[in-house]
Amino acid sequence: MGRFLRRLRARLRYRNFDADLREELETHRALAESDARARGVSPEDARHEAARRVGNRTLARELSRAVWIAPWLESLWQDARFAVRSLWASPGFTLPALAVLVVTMGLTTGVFTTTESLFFRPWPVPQVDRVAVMVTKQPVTNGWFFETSLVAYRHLREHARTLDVAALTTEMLRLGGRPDAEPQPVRLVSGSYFDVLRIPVVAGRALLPSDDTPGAEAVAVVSHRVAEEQLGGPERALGAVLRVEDVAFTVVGVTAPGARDARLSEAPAAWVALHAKAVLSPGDEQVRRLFNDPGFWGVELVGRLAPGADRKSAEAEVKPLMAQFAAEHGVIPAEVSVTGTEWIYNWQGAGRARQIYSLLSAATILTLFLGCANVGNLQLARGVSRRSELEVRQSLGAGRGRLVRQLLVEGLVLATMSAVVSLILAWQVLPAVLGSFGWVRPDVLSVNGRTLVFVFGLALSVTMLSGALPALRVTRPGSGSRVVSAGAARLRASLLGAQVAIGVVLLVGAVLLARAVQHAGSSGLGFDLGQVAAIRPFVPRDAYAPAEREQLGRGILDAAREAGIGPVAGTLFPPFTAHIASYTVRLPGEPESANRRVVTHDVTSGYFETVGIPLVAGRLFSESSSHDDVVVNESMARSFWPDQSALGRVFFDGDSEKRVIGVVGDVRTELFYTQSPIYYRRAGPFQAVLARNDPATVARVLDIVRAVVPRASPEVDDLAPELRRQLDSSVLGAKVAAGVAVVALLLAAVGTLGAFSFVVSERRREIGVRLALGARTWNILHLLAARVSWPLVGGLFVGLLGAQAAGGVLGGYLYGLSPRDPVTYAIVLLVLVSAAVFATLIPARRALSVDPAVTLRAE
Amino acid sequence: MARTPEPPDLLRGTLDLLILRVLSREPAHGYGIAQRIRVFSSDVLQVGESSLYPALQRLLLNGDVEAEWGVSENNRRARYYSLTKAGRKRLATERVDFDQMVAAIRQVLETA
Repeated sequence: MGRFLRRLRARLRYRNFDADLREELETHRALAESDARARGVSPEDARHEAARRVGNRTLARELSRAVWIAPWLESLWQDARFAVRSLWASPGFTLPALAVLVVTMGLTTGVFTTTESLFFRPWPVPQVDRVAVMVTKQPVTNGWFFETSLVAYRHLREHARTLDVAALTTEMLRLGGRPDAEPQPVRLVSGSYFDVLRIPVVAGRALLPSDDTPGAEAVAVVSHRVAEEQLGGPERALGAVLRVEDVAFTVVGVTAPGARDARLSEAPAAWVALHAKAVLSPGDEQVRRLFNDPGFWGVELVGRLAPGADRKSAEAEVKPLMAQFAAEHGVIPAEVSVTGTEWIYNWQGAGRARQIYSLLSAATILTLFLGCANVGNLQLARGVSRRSELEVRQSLGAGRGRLVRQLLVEGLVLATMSAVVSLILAWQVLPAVLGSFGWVRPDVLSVNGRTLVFVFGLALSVTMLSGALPALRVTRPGSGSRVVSAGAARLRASLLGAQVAIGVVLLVGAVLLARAVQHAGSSGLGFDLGQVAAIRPFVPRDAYAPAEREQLGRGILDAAREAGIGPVAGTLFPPFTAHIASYTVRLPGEPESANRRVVTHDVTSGYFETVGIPLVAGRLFSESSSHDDVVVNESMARSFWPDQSALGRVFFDGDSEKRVIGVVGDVRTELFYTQSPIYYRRAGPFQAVLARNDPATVARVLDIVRAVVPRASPEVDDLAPELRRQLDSSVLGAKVAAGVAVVALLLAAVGTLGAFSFVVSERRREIGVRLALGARTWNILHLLAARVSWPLVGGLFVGLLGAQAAGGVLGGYLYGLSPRDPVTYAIVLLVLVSAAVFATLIPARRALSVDPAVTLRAE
Repeated sequence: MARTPEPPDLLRGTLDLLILRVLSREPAHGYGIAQRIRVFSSDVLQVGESSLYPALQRLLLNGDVEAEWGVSENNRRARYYSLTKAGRKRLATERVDFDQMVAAIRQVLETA
């Protein structure tokens, strides 16, 4: 060791050896020359003499360099060649180790590639490094949002000099004027948008600032795909009419094939001016607020940096501008950050996907550790059985450091092979597999230089993680006795315990997620979804004015009540069909900035009876209730007025004062991650009629709707499939988690099996002797079990503790299921016990079939 | 331009030994070491740069000597080598080994 350290120190101290040597040789030449002159040689001859030795000096440098470099590399190469030979010679170790490494490293690489592809790459627009995205944060919400208000955008647009700003919002709209068309993403953008993002247009023109003015002609730029599929090709599309919902737009431009202005979201089908929102939803209160309310966060902001400006200088300019804006308009000042498109998905609160990937990454890293522990045990076993070889090499003069290095190089060779396989999988197989789930577009996923660096970094870490301890252990001086040292046994037990613990954590997590999906789909809602049908009276928007629509809706409900078909109600959004509309409200006496987030539902009287939501206190709406009388759920009552009655309390939603007249039970009518405060207010116009879900009732309601609203084309929404569709991503998440957990379980089982087999083969002779002396089956099993039981039990214990912690982390994904769900733990224990029995049974059978005579003869 | 014949390369281990011995008196730079070996051997042993410097690098790498930049007699920057503790130990053992070796060789030459 001392020698190794000395050499290491020398390497550090003389790392500039080549430059030093060159100067040194120059000194040598000069000294030789002056000596020669002193001896009386003519200066001319002295120089010649010196020059003659130039070749010598080059040789000196080359040989010296070899001193520093060669032994290192050469012996490494030797080690690698030897490693390949020795791995080849022992497939019993190489194949399982390789399999474990390929599975775990492949999984890790896959997750890395997906995460990196999804979250760390810029948008595919020209000169994207000059594109900036602005995100905002309000002091109270404590999360970053992309949205800001359109009024704030106008302020920035007018005053910002460091960047050219554009605003956008995206809506899912039906193209082609057919009510049954699938809604497609349409971007509503400011006139500056195409200048800022420079999306290539192949026919016609882009949208211009003049298109985004009140009263401008309704024009649209369509994607190449829409032009091909719906308008007869890019050339014929120009000047054609494209109906978006009920509004006719003239197509003025077609973007390049595959052009997109964001990486992950579906490519927009069309781009129209923001002002078109006024014609798309005439008379809508939200639209009025979008254009006029400085505190209504309705648009996202992107910008292109001016020449000479960078994100920092842009942020330095934008921050005071936004503060000034807030002061002028009396709105809550929002913190602004200017960032690049590659980071847009990384902002806190930027969506659930990122959290899901963090969880997946955590699970993958755990699996990787499990794999390392597994391979570590294999290496330990191999090292122990290779002891005689190691001893021979040691007695031939190999130092311990040299042997450790040899063992580590073997590990590195294995890990590198797995790294190459993982890379090929991530490159060729991953996009196809994930694409076939319809989960991400295959072209989003690709490997790049970062993947390469990651994979080989991973190989190095895996080598050290799985190999360092076993290598140190088996080369430990004095451990050369035939009986396996207690240290090696301890290390093996710890590695086994770690595998079991990690397996338990992952298994509990996966079962919890699967149970949560089941829970969310049925028992966790608080009401029986199957009992409710939603009938949407599809009324063409341009057929009736809002006031008329409200009148007609009331007429439908009145007629239904008269017909006596049980409880009916109207709602703006049927359960599980709305994006969560979340608003900020405040209590009396609180400042404007005390934004408390709540969810609102617009419902008519009868809603609670129809859905089956219990009244807890106070009363429900009646037909004559004021629009400012509201009903809140228990969560809201608890969090707004803790330990007090909520009845009669008031709060402010914007300028209107709301009074609580009743409290109802908590139910889930949207997929909240945690139960949130909800207040119900009496709806004006509504979009759906809710009624009992039986064929007769539904048929009656349909008749009534047709009778009251002649131009309606009512449809029945089955809500249960809607919920299932919304749960799809969670189902997929649970499946992925289950996949990871199965891998983990298999690895842990195989690890247990391996460790147990090893104990058996190690004690083969002893078992033979004991059997010969008349030991019973039970004694032998007891003897063997004693060696593996404590790591199994210890691992289980640690794993259960870890699972408790993991359950807390998962809390937000469980749709209200307790992280300590007893059914989950029961399932996990059952699976583990079966796995343990399976993993110990096979080697145990082998142990009992030991023939004492054969074993003893072999000695 | 007369060609001065290069003496045959010294045995590798022997050169290390000679360098260590020279440095055991006082630190010296590369040229100085070569000069001293030449002078002490009465001009018999001439060490060329291509053997001297690789040998010095080897000794550096093994931690037998250490190097320090200083100023030479003609005011140039020169690297002075000195023995380390490990080098001193190595000199002692190799010297014994060498003496034994020489004695053995002589014995063979005289008796055979």
